[in-house]
Formats: sequence, structure tokens, C-alpha cells
Amino acid sequence: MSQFISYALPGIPYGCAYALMACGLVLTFKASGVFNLAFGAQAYVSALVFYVAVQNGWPKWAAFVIAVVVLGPLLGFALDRVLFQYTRTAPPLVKLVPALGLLIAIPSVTQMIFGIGQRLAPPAVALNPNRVYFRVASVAVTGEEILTTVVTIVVVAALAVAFASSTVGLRMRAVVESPRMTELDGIRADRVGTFAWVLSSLFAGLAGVLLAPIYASLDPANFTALLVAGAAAAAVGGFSSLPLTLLGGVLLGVVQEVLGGYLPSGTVLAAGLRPSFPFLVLAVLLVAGRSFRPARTFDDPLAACDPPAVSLRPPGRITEVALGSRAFAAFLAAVFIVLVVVVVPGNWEYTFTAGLVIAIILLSITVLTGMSGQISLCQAAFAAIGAFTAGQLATHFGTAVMIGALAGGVLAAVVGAFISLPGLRLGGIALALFTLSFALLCDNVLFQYSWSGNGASGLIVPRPLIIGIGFAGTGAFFFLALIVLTITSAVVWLIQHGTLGEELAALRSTEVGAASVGIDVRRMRIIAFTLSAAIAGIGGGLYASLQQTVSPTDFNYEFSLIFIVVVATIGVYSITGAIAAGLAYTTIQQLISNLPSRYNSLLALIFGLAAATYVRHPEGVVEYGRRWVLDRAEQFANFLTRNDAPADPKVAVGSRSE
Amino acid sequence: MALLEARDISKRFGGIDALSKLSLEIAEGESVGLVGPNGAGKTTLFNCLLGIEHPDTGSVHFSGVPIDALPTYQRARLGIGRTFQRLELFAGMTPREHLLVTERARSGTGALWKDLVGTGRPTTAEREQSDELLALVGLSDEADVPVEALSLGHGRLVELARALVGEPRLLMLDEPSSGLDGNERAELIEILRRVRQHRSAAVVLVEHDLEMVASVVERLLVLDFGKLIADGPLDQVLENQEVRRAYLGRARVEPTRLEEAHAPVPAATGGRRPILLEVRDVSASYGPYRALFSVSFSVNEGEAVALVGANGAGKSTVARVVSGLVPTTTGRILFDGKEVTNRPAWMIARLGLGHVNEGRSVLASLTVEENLELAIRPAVGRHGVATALERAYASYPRLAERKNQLAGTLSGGEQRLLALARVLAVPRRLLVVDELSLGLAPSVVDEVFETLRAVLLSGTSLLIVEQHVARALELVDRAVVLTRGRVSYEGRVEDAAQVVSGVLGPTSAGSEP
Repeated sequence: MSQFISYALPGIPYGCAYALMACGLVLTFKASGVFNLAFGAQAYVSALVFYVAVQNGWPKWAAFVIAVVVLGPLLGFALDRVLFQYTRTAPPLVKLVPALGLLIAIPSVTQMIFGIGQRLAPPAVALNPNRVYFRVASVAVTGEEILTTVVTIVVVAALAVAFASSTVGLRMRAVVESPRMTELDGIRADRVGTFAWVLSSLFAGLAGVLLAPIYASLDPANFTALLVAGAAAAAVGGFSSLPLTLLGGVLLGVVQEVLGGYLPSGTVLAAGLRPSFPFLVLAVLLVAGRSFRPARTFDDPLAACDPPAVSLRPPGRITEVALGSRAFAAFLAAVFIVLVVVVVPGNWEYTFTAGLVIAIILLSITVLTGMSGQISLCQAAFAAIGAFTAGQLATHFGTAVMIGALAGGVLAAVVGAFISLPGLRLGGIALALFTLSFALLCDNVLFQYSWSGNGASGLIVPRPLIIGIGFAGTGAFFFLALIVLTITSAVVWLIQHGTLGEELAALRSTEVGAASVGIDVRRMRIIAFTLSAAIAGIGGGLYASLQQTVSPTDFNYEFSLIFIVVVATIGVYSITGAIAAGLAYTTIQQLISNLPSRYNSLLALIFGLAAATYVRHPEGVVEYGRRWVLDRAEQFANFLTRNDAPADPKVAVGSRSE
Repeated sequence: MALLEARDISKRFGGIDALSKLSLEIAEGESVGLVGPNGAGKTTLFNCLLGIEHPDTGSVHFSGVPIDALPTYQRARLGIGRTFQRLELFAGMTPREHLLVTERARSGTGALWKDLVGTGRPTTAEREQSDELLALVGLSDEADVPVEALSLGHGRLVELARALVGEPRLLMLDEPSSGLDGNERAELIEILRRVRQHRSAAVVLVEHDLEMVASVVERLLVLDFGKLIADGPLDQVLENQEVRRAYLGRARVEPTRLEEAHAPVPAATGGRRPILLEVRDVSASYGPYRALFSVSFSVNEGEAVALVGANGAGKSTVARVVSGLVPTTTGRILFDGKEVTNRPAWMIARLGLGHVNEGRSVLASLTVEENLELAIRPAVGRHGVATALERAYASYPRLAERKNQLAGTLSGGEQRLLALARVLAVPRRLLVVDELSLGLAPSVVDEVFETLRAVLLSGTSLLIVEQHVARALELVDRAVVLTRGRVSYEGRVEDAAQVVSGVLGPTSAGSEP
């Protein structure tokens, strides 16, 4: 029993840390309607500023004021003004994309400002974190543990009371549902919305500074893990109840520590399971019941006041323009291929080849998110499964790489189907969280085994040799990538324009409507998930072969996030979008590699911020540009043929608001 | 043997019986109307029959086979087609694409490998079938226009055609005339008659518009509080006293002309009421779509004005522009002599303008009490909330009973009541009311108009958009007729009636029996 207590007791402060994060998440979700995955990143920023200020000899109170009281709310204010004020009436899934963008953009900004480098032993705000103040049942209680526990309980209690009884809380919830309806009551919805972000960011800053000393060093990845653990605690409270969330957090911390105590030490399972236990809990809770998922949100009944949404389907064009645009696209592709083969230097050849391979992986998102409207945050894990399969088969059995990659695609498809089964009952944010926790489980446990990703040492994957033709040189590999990309694109095109694509498009806009005409919604979802995983797997296998080595860090969860954000920005609904996104991704990275190392994550910053455009232009940058050019071309064609359409502006249909 | 047989269907939502032990039979090829007050359980019944909701008890047989265990899509494939009150169309698709995808889905012939070898595209036979259906519902001219660009009425026709794909044996229509104007309704009745001639499917029609019911069905079922209170031939059921009480409401009283009832005009204004709202040359757009072209009219203190026009004429847009929800591109709006052009909605609201919008006008995620509190607080401050709440509950006792219920779980009629209670809980100078009676049962419509009359008598001005044009015209002093975003008439009601029947068609006078 005393052993149990000695394991369980240190779990309480951990649990409080989870609870603090969780309450921040719940608060932001209730007050702004955004499931703010960037909450961890915001916490990290304040912790970092506090760290740097203290290092530079500032008194702790001054550092605290700057890092938490000033910076936190300021960041929240900026985020609301620049980003989230435009997403107030957007559906939850659309809100998720800019939050994802922030999650990867914020740490990269701080890197650029404060440089990279390990920051060991983050300081505590008060009390000596390592001093043992007293003992409970002979278990030492340190200053850090006292501080975390006390502050969490006080803050959460204050928050619960404030939110339940104040007018502000009521107004925040009203604004989440419909800012316009709230305005009709004479309330400044915009101010309420901004205040929600200021408050939640203050909270993030507080959590960041308090929780930093838990870890040996200050690292954004720790905060993301903390955030997912927080999401698990929030699930216990149904993403709504603060007291239950607190309870969930504490339980999670205790069970995790007890588990760590009793599991045999030294095994991968013990080393991996303890840190990834919260992810497992989150996944299980989300699937277990409706009450553990974010509540369904209501549409804004006044959404019809907005200009109509951009159509995701390209408009029909007059024949000349349609043909011209196709000819121009073919011409561009030809020029690109010739340039790569003839002109560009070796490192750029590699960049473009990698771009094509990444494009294949990104096509998996075109199928899943673009065609079926589901968001998965574990696409990189599917790619990794393909890569490791190809690597393992080549290492142990000498299997040809391309066959290995195909086998990897099949295995990824099987895993994808299994993931989609519990995922069927989830939608939107819940599915995103579920897949994120799967990705983290893969990173921490599955891919660490020698039979899969082989941990840090990774695997060696040869370049392919197909019926006597070697693709060892990058130039040759470029053509192989081109062929595989063409085949994959053709498959995606055929599906998009076939029965399956039409049924998925129907399903994406209305599930009830689709079911009522005889579309098997579940089957469609499973097919889309399976197909998408297969494509990601094949792309991953090919990528491993291009790199010639592969390890879990090549495909960790961050890549899943970056992939989604890049495709969403450039165009998630079209094949050209995915190809452009792949090439843009590697090109920008190549350009950045010439800059000083602190700018390494400039790419994350660019796309992280660009992801905000998804709210206004879900069709993506490429399609937006194409439509703009083709509109002009069509006008010009009409002008030439003197075929001016009579100007009879379409009168808006008022009743479409229903 | 009955085509569809439902036995003892019960469904509870949060302590309320939406359906209790309901049984019914529909024979092959029969045409049945289903009417009842809002919240009687009509849509819930549809959802239970099609497996969208799962009933707590009871069973459903379709041509003698139990279908309780089947998911929605399989029931659809057995031959049940349905339309929705709130359109559930496929975004971005054309009417033709709707029908083609439905043909594949109903027959379940789509497969991944067929797509991959390129045979996933529609066959000639399928194209011919969809052409035929498009012709049947009169949509041939708009077959290749994305549904977003169609009017509400034609959107409903797309749903009708979609439900007819694959020769269903049962067609379930959920309030197909809701939100349609006179001409559109006449068109729909004509098309439904044509469908009855050319197709053998049994029809179940949920509808508030008894004229439409009478012209399509032979048998009438009446639902009230989740129970069947009448079932029989149409004319017999309509004579039933219980039905009249539950659904049709009291006999209409002759309206008193309002001029007589109004508060006397203050002498200081020289016998004329001062102008409260003035709209001058206002234009507005939704993105690329222009909705209003230089609209001008005014509303005087204590006066009621109706906005009348066909669907898509811009009535709701006028209401939204006045309340500051949609920006103007040109023109000016004056409220109580103050410039409010393109001011934020909250600022206009604080000047004393209340707005009840079309459709849901309550915050579904808040409780009834929270909805009221939200509306009351900005006007009366922290300390006045309790008394104002009490006053609101005194006027609407039904809301007091449900004060802790989420507004989203109220029935349509109760939501409309709450919406009214919200705007009337604090004093208003002008009330803008957009389609308040839409989708409400005749008895509730009476209640709503009574409330509006009381509002007017208390001195608040009214600007109303109404589907029941005739009843709206009884209430108001003046009418503004909109045609394609322009004012085609402004003036006294007597003369408006003629303009209105020209614009909306003869049947627009209302839908009372």
C-alpha cells in the first residue's frame, strides 16, 4: 500500500498540470468556439519569455508580469484581431485549420527571436522547485509540486465560479453560437469575442510559466504533449464541466505514475506507455461515448447575412478557355520536367524530386479531407508505416523497394481501416483529436520497436532497381517519382469523377440527405480512410527510398500537422493543389536551408499564418489564382467574339438562409 | 397487406414524448396527408420511419418485412424517398448531378473498381431517366445550374425529383410548401398532381397548407402531442371538433381596423405621426449578388408597415439592412432622426430597434432563461433583470415552465414564442419581424398575430415580412411591395392588395381553409 502511495502521490501535481491545461482548453472552447490546439504553444511562449527574462537577471516578479500579465493577453488580443475574429461563424472544422497553423507557427517565431538551443532547468515562479518542503506518508513533496497543485486548484475553482455566474460567461457562449444574434440584443459581440481570447491567453501564459519546471528543459514538444494530455482530461469533463475536468486531470496523472511504477522498467512498453498513456486515454474516451466529446454546435441562424461561400467546384468555362487552360497546364508541366532534367543543379533536382514524392503523400489528404470532409492528424504516421515496411522488407528479405512500398501501402490501408472504424462515430474535432493521439502513440511506442521504425537508429532503404533499370541517381529517381505521382493522380482523378467521388461529395455537404438517397455513409467513410492511408503509405515508402534512410523523426506527428496546413492553404480539393503544395513545401525548405539555423522553421511560420486564408478561401491559393486568371481570360474571349453576356445580375435568394 | 405499417412507435426527447404509442398504416399507392400543430411529432415520425432517429419502442414494417434493424440507406434502397423541410441538397452539384448520384446510390451499383477502370460515369440509360424526371418536375431548363443558384421553390423541386429516383414505392414529403410564395405554391401543387398521375408511389404529405393537402391527398391523419387524434377521409377529418381545436384554432374574428384602435396622434405634430425609420435609396449586395437596388420607404411612429413581395425579392435583406446586419453599398438609413447607415447592429439595437429573424431566432445552446437574460441585461442593467424576467414569464407562462430547458430543444412554435418574448422583454421603438409565422400551425399563427397586434397597440412601430400576406395586410397601415430588389409600390393597404395579387399570384392570400 505504501508503495502504491509512493507512486500515486507524485502523480497528483502532474495531474494538476494536465487539469490546468485542460481547463484552458475548455475555457477557450466554450468562450470562442475554437478548439485551440495552439494553447500549448501559447503557454510555451510565456514560459520562454519568463525563462529568458530571469536568465538576464530580471527579478522574478517583473519577469512574471511581462511574460504572463502583459504578453499573454497581448498575444490573445493579436490572435483575435488578426485571425479568429474572422472565424467566429465558421464551422468548427474550419476553425481547426488556423489553430493548427498557429500550433506550428508560434514556436517557430520564438525560435527566430530567441534563437535555438537547449534551455535547461526552467525556473519556478515561487518556492524552490527541488527543495523538499514536507513529506506525506514518507513521500517527499517538493516546492514545484506544492505550487502546481495549489495554484491549479485555486485557479480552476475561481474560473468555474466566474464562468457559471457571470454575464460575461453567458455572453461568450452566446457569441460562439451567433455573434449577430447577440448584437441584436445590443451587445458588442466583437468585444466579447476579443475578451474571450485575451482571457484564455492569459490563462495559457499562467499555465506555461507554472508548468515549465515539470520538465528538465523548455521544449515546445513537451507543451504539445501536455496539451493532448489536457485534452484527455477535458474529455472526462465532456469538454464542458470544469470540476470534472480537474478530477479527470488528477486521475490521469495518478494512474500514469502508478502505471510507471509497476510496469517493468527498461522495456519499450514501459518507456513509451507512461508518457503516451494520456493519448491512449483520450482515444478510448472519445470512442467510448458521446458525453466525452465536444458538444455539437449549432449553426448561426443569421449566417445568410454573409456573402455566399466560395463554391468548391470550379465553375464551368467556355470551351476555348477550358482548352486553353489545359494546354497551358500541360505546357507548364513539360517546361518543369525539361528544366529539372536539363538545367537545375543537383541539390535542386533532389528538392523537386522530394516535392513530387511529398505530393503523393499530400494526395492522401486530398482524398480524405478534400473529398470526404474528414480531418486526420495522423497522415504522417500512415506514410511512416509505408516507409518502415519498405525498409524492413528490404533489410530482412531483400525485397525490391517498390514492392516493399506497395506492401507498405497495403499495410497502411489495413491500419487506416482499423482507425476509421472507431473514428466512424466521431466527426470533426473529435476525429482530429483521436487521430492525433494515434499519431503520438505511434511516435512514442509503436515506431520505437526494432521491428517497426527501429527508434532513433532508423532503417536503411535502398534506391529501387526495377527490371534491370536502376534508379540510384536522383535524376532517374525523379522519373520514377513522376510516374508514381501520375498513376496516383490518375487514380484520385478517376475516383473524384466516378460514382465514389460523387457520393463522397454528397455526403460531405449533408449526411442525412446522403443517407436518405441510399448512400452508405459508414462504408464511404471507411473506403475514403483506407484509400487515403494506402496512398500515404506508398508515398512514405517512396520517400524513404529517396532519402535512403528513414527513422521515426522523419514522420513524427508534427509532419501530419504541417502537411494538413500546407495542403489546406494551397488547395485541398484538387489534384493540382496537392502537387503544387508538395513542390512548394520542398522548394521553400530548400530556400530556407541557406539561411542561418534559427530560421529553420520559417516554413512552419509561413504556412502556419497562411492557413488563416483557408477560412475565407477554402478552395486554396492555387484554385483561387486559377479562377482569377480564367475569369479574366473568359472576359477577354467574350470581348473578342463580341459575345457579351447581358448584364442581368442574379438577385440573391433571401430564403436560402434556411 | 399495407405498404408501410408502424406499430406503437414511441420516442422521448429530454423528458418530452415526441411520439407516444403511435400506430399507422399506409396502403400501396395511397395518398395521405399528415397535419398537426408544431411539435406534434410529424418530422420525428418521418425520421423514425426512415431510421434517422431510432424509436424507443415499436416496430416498422415495409411491405410486410420488419425494417427496424436496417440503417437509413438500406430503407431508402427498399423504395422510400423523402424530402426535407430544411433543404438537404448536395452543395455545388447541379440538379442533374443530384439525380445521377442518387440513381447509383439507390441501386447500390457503385464500386471502387468500376471507378478505377473508368466505368463509374453515368450510362446513357441513367441519363435518360434523370432527364425524364427533370422534365416531370419542370426543371429541365435549370438542369445544369448549381443548386446554390436556384430559388427555394426550385430547390424543393430538386429534392422532390431526387426522392422520385428509382421508382420508390413510398414518397414522404416534409412541408414542401414551407417558405414558398403564391406562384411557387401553385406550381408545386401542379407538379405534385402530375407526379400522382405518372407515378404509382404512395405519398405521405406533411403540410400546414391545407389547400395543398386538399389538392393532393385523399386521407388525412392528424397528430397532436405525439398521438394520432384523427384518421379518415379528408373532409370528414376536417369537420372533427377535436381536430379543429388542436390544429385549426378558434374561428377567426373580424379584425378591427387599427386606425381606430391606435393611440391618438399628438396634436403637436400637426396631426401627422413623426417619421421613425427612413430608408433612402439603399442598395445592398451579398458578395457578387446584388439584392437591393435603391430602395426607399419610411415607417412612422406607432405605425405598422408590411414588406411584401415574391421570394427572392429582397424582403429579408431590407429587414437585415435596417437592423445593421447587412451593410448597405449606397444610400442612407435614419432611425429616430439619427444617422445609422452601416452602424453596427448592437448600436442600432440600443436605440430601440428589435429584430426577430427568419427561422430560428433564439440561441439554441442556451436555456430559455439565459436567452431572456441575454436580451434583458443590456437594456436594464444588473438589478433590473429579475423583475424583467418575472414580467416576461407572466406574459408567457409556457416559457416559465421550460425556463431551464435548452432553447434548441423547444418546438418550432415555442421557439417563436421565446423569440418574441426576447425582443419584447425590453421597451422597443420599432420591431422588425421577419417571417414570424413561417412553418407554424394555423392555431399558433393566430396567437402570433394577436401578440403583434398587442405590440402595436402599446405604441411600438412594426415592420413585418409575412408569408400570410392577407393577414399581414389586415394588421398594417401601409405596405411596401418589392419586386426583384426594387420598390414597386408604397402606400395604403387597400391599393396594395391589387399590386400584391399581381406579384404573388391569386393564391397568395393565405392558407387558411
